[in-house]
Amino acid sequence: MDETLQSTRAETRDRHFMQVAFDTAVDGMILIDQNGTVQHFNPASVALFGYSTDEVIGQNVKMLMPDHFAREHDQYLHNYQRTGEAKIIGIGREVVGRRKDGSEFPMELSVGHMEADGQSSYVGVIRDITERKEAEAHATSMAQYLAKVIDTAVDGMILIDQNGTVQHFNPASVALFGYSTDEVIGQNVKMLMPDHFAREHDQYLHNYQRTGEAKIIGIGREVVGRRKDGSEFPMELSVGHMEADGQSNYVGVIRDITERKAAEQQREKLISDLSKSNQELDDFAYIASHDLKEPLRGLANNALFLAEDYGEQIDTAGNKRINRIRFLAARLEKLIDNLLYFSRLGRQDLAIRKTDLNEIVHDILNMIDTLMDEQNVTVRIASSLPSVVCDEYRVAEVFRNLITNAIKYNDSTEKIIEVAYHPEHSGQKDVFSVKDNGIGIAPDFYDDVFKIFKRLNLEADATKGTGVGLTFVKKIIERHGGTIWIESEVGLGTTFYFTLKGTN
Amino acid sequence: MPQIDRSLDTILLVEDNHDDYEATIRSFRKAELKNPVHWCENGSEALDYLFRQGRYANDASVQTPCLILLDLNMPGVDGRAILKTIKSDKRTQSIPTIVLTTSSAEVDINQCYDLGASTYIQKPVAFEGLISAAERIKDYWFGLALLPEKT
Repeated sequence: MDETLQSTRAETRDRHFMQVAFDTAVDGMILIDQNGTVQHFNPASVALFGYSTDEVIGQNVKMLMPDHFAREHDQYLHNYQRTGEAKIIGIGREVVGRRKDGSEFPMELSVGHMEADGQSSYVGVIRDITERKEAEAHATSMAQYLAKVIDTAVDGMILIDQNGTVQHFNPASVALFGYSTDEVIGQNVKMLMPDHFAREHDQYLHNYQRTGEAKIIGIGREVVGRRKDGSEFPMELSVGHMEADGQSNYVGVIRDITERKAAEQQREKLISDLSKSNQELDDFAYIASHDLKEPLRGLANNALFLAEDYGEQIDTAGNKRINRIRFLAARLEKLIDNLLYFSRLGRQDLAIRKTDLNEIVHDILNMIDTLMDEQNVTVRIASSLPSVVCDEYRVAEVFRNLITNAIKYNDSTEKIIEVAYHPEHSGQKDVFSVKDNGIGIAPDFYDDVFKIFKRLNLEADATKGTGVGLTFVKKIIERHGGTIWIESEVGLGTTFYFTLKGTN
Repeated sequence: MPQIDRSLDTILLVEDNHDDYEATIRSFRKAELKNPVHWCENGSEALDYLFRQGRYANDASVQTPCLILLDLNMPGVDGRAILKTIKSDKRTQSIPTIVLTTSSAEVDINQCYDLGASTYIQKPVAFEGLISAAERIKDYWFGLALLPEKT
């Protein structure tokens, strides 16, 4: 085998290798002559630009560029050939390509210059960097976004390293502490703490790094900050720990809670005032029960003894007046007792336990069966009542009051009362109702009926109530966390609805 | 067991309120509770009577009562103090002592029973109630219950 043949074979093999590389390269490869005319356009280029090989070969490479690049390309080629001044050739840079459909894409272009047969040719290698550009853009915008979040945060945000040295101090922190960013960055964060906190801070950071025992980190708590002017303020501090590049950093988020603390103190004072006034009410109730009732009893007894001892010497009109005194004394006593009971309703703990309301209502009906016969009353229990966690005795009082009111304020010949349970009613859950076909209540009086000693109807002395029944009902329901409301039509009847929290 | 007639034994009534005293006496009359009643208007007088001291030191008419009716809220030595003294002195601790007061406060009720009260009764406001109470006191303490022998 002679040398020429050998070298020809080697040449053939090299050309074949080049061809395979050219055809299978992932990157686009384009060969142009010194005028910019495309000589070769590999399959990757076809995929990149959307042109077939035939559409590009023999055309100027400018067709693959947006106009503003294209305009300068001839000049650039010309300059390079004249002066050797390269902008891309032998360097590579990011430029923009234009596809057949006119769309543009960012690409990395590297260009090699080759001389053959006295002719200059250029090979361009092209990589589509759309995804990389997008990722870069995203990272940049995320970083800008985060920086903006930190800068515009209402809460102070301070970044310190593991020694406590401040790395970042956001504008909200400037406003909180009165230091400028420059005054704090590079200093130990202890400068922002009152002495007794500052003293422990190094030790604390050290302990945390050694043992992982956290007092604030990952938890957050209320501490005290110190401003540049030395004044102190209560703040809520939450600290996050982050590891980056083998370094521990801590981000503190700070909220000034001066106002909240003031509100808390205000609330505590109100609560203490309230409990004081409750105590006074308690005392008042005792005074009412003992000191007012004692002379009242004397008054009633003296009127009685007067009637007993001297009744025969006094005429009928005089005896009537004595009886009137006795009646009024008895009434006053009732009012005092009711007032006392009302004040106790508000203060005494409820005896809460699971209670079958069916039983309660049936017991009440048994107790008033004579009244029901006399008054021609029918009581229906519209749906089975649930068991409820409540104060049995007090809730029985609610039902008893509502049922007896439904009988009392009712002039129908057949008085019909319906007790019902609604799993859901008017947007409320677990609602009870007592409905009657009685005289009804005008809307103007819906509130009045619940006021203590308030009565809506003129009643005979003998049957007159003290006007406390519904007041007690409302108080009991409220003590159970429930509410009571009325639906009524004058002449047709009234329905009392109520809830008791803790129904199950 | 032989029935002992106690209708001549003295009942000690400790009551600062004249109206209440009068009402109580009247209710006893109506209930036909015929025992003699000795009335002490205040706590220190009651203690003098029980321990035969002070103005009762040489009073031959003083009898150890068979029953004490005690008001709680009185000026000076109040019912609680009297109850405590009575129940911690050998001479008087066996005398049944009924607290008769307007108070129905739980704290009073508990305290009185702790101190050794035999019964705690809230004073009925209506006179009819007082008569009924007197009748029941009579039935219980002078009918049903057996009392200790006087020492």
